Amino acid sequence: MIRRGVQPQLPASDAELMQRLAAGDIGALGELYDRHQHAVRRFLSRATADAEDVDDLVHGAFLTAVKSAGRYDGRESARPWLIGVAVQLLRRRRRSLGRWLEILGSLKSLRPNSADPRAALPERGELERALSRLSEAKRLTILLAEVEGWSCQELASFFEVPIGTVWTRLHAARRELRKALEPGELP
Amino acid sequence: MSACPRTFEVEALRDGRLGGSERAGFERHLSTCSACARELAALERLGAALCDSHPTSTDELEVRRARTRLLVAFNQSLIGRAGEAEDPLSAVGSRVSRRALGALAAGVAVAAGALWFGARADEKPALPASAVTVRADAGARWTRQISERRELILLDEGRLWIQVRRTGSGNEPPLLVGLPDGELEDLGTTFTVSAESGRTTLVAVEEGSVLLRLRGQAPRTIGARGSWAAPPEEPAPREQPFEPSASAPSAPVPAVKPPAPAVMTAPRPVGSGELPAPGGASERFKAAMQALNRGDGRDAAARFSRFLEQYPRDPRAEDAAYLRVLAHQRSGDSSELQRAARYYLRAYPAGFRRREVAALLPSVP
Repeated sequence: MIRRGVQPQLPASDAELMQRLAAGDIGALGELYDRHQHAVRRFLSRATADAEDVDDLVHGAFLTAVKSAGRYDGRESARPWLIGVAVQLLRRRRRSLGRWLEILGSLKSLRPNSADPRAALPERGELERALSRLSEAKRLTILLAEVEGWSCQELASFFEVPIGTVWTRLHAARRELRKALEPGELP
Repeated sequence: MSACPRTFEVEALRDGRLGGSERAGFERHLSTCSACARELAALERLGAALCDSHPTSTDELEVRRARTRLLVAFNQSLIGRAGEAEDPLSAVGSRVSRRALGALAAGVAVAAGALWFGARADEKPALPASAVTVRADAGARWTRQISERRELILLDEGRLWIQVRRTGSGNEPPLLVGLPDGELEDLGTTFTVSAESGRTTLVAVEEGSVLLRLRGQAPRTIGARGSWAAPPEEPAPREQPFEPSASAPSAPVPAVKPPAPAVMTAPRPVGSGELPAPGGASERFKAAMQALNRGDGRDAAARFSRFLEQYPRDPRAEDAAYLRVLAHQRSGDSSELQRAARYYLRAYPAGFRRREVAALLPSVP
């Protein structure tokens, strides 16, 4: 085997990629996407349960990363940062959806088919169904805590709520999920 | 089940609400209290179930398309033309209006399409002159965009010969070639690049050097007269497309082996007759589709079977497995339909068409 002219290089860290992205390096965006799109996509699929939303939100999260790359805090992995961006987009999208439904509902000749796009979901497991029935605040809180490993302090700071609110949301979310999954086992 | 008045502290422990002596005291209690231990186990089970939930079975081809859309949007934002790329939040929000207003959605889509496909047509002469010459094979699918900051060539399928002549003035925009599974950054050179079935198959450099970045692999620099070729796609395991129906277990299909590492090939001259002919997998899939469309279910099923044997990791493999089921259904061969359906359900337990396939075969769990 001849390896003429080939010099493998160590992959860049996420922080380096963010620096390059801030400088307009499209290759850095591609590398970041390859590293983290799966995690962002899976988180969003848990959080929103709407396939079209997920595609749009993944796209939006990475484009937002482009705009905000210069403010990246330099942490080793960009995953929590990208997940945070995706959550903010999701919450804003929900608010926009609510306004649209209000507008459409006021038109006599045009009614939305459904008040909740999640009504068109494909068949899912018990946990997925129970998760989709949680309020968005509780769903996002428990997913960020249990799946992404965010601390209660980080969650309180991110959602700009008292830490007691985070504890309450976590407790309520667990209770509702366990009630759906393990009826009769709750104390 | 015996209750414990301290069970509520389990959740507090898990959420980091207990500190110092409180935590140490409760951990001692936990080691002796079966009720609290059960509660902790239940919370841990819930956390693990959440982590395992929503396995994504995204079509790899769709991911690549989404990746290309992202890079194009980024490039357009550099050009400063596409408003949607300037405000990703608005882009997300626009989905809402498209969903709610079907007719309006069509208009939005047409407008978006005009933006997308008009990228080359409305290039302004004010942009810097390109130092790049591109020759494409017949049938190659690719696009080209030039901005003040960079020149972007997106190769979807086929072969391109690219020559970059730098004047040394520093005014020419750098060149980036977007590939289905990576990027190739030109460092001032002449090279050939090929892509087939959603992956890069060959990069051969005549002069200068290029930097190749493929997903999941370390970047590599390829110098003059150097080349890189993707390894051939592995043949399917003997039992994979069709296992004896009597012995078909209900256990999940083993995890797919990671792709073999790329191999370096000996340098070779870049002549048109020496590069691999593109379109093998695509042509076979297309032929199977044509057979299905003309109503020849038996021939279509045989073609999809051969496709699955030869390209088990192709992004269209799931489609082929599903279409094979339909082909057998059309040919009226119920025993083969059952085997094909079982194969699909085992190979793609979270597949997009599992419900349709299961409905065709109610006895399959």
